[in-house]
Amino acid sequence: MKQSALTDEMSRRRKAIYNGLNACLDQDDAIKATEIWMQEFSSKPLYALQPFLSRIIEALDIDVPRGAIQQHILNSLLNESGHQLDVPTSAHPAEFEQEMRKPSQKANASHKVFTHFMDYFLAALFKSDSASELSIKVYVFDNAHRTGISGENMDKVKKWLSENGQVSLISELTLQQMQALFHLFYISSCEHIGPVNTDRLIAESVKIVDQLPESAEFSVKSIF
Amino acid sequence: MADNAQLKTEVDTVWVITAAALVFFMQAGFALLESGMSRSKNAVNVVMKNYMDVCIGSIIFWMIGYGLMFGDNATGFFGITHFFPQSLSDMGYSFLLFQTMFAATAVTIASGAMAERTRYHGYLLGALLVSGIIYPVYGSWVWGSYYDGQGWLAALGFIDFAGSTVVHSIGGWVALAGIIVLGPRLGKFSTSGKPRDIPGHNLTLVALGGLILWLGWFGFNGGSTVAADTSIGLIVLNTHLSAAAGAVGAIAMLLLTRQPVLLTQSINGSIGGLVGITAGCATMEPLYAMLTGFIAGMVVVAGARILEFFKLDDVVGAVSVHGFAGAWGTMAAGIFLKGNMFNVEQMFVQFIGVAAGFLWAFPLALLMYYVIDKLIGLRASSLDEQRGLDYAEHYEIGYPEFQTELVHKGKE
Repeated sequence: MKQSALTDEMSRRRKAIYNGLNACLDQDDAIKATEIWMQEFSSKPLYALQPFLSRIIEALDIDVPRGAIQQHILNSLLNESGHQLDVPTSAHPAEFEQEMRKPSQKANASHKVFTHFMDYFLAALFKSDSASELSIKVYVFDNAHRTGISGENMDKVKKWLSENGQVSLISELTLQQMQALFHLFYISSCEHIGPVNTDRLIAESVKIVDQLPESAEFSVKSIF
Repeated sequence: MADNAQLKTEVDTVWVITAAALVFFMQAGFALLESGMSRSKNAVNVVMKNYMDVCIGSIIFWMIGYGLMFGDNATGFFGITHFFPQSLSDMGYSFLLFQTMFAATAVTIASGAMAERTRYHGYLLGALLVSGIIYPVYGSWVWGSYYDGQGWLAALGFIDFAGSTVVHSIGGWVALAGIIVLGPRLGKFSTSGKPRDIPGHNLTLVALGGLILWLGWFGFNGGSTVAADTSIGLIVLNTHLSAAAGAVGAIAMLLLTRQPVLLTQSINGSIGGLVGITAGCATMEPLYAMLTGFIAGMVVVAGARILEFFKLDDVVGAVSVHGFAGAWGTMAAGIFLKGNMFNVEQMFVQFIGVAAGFLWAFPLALLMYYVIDKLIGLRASSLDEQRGLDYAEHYEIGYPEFQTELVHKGKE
């Protein structure tokens, strides 16, 4: 998308995202990540950053903690009146495009879809009621043994829950385990924010995740 | 003279069959009202339960219910003849058909209260026992004198013309037992115990269902004369006025208690009015019919709050509408009895009838649902509740075209 085609608002947001990323990543990664935001996330709620963070960490193989990146982006978004750098043009846009479209070597479609869905869902929960989000996570943490996940994978799931999205959800879950894990979230979410709000957040998250290319291979509805 | 008698029988038959058809049409009203008040993911399940209630209720009532209720009743507690009735008088067939529709109505009341978390097969087994035992045995106490003998409540002078207690309260108490055994739907009450509104998926269906029930009630009460006579005019007028006053009473109660004036509560108010007047529609003046309906509407709203206070989840308000309003209406039939108003003795008899209905139906239904739950399972799993009972119980989605963006798409 050309800069001239951007609306003022979009341009402003893009600049803030780039500056947040540039504060903790090297410039190339910041440019690429900003491109990803423009292509896939610019139409999404501005502060629902978890799915975006999952996507760039996976796509660009970033080592910086997710929480740190999120903090920098939030600071930048909330401090737009301060001095901010313009977004440089990508040096190799065509190669970058190609790279973005390459299937990930690390994770299959179901993992990506599930991870993105959970990230969106949790971000929406957090936005809706941060205290409830924490209680829901605690419930899932306490009942994770009911999902059939065991051993090292269980430790990873618990780490994912306890570190507030700073680590990526593991890729080795079976469909049944994903269903069971989601079901725990559903039960607890119904208890804390009610079934109507839960269904609404799920429906919103599904709508977004359905736009991912991987959704053609794996429907997120399979986990329900 | 003989020709006149024959003509009377023929006209009676036409009226009773027409009334039976109207009562049958009430099943459509229940199906629309209950499915509209449920979430779309459970719409098929609710309709399936209503549909099978008619089927199971009709068969079981023909097999044993009719005999228990209307067979020769020497003890006053249940009938012992006319099981599997094959050969009846001409009017007897019409009467059986009409009463079969009543039995189906009593059975289907519980389905709405227990919607969205009840396993289909467990529910059907309950429906079978309600139509085969709980409903007809109590019915025999009040109406069991069609052939020979008399029910013990009828002998006391208990008035329940068309079944405020016999049909509706009994159904309401069964529903109450059902929702106690089942427990509330996932998330109905917050972690602090505060009730949450879980709106149904189609309020237009609810309104249409309410209106169909209203229409069907003209047959329900009007047909209870079991004869085409001139009393039908007063009965149907009282029925109509009470329904209208019921909605007004519900709205008044909502305003008095500073609650939003909801369509669902207004419709439930009018149905409460219909339930309330059912006992005394033939023995009350129109002014008191209206008063009965008005108070019934208020009872419906207050009853719903009471149930929520006790953490009971009644999806459509059936306990309040049929149980509480039915009990009030039965008392009102004694209080506002034409020519003998406020007779304490009659009011006491009415109270005995209401209490006997509760003490018979509620504990038995509680035991029945408890045993069903232990034996084959009554409560759907939380996973099935999440997915919706349409998919989980029937593998069939009510709105496949419109559920593409919703939680569960269907067969995948």
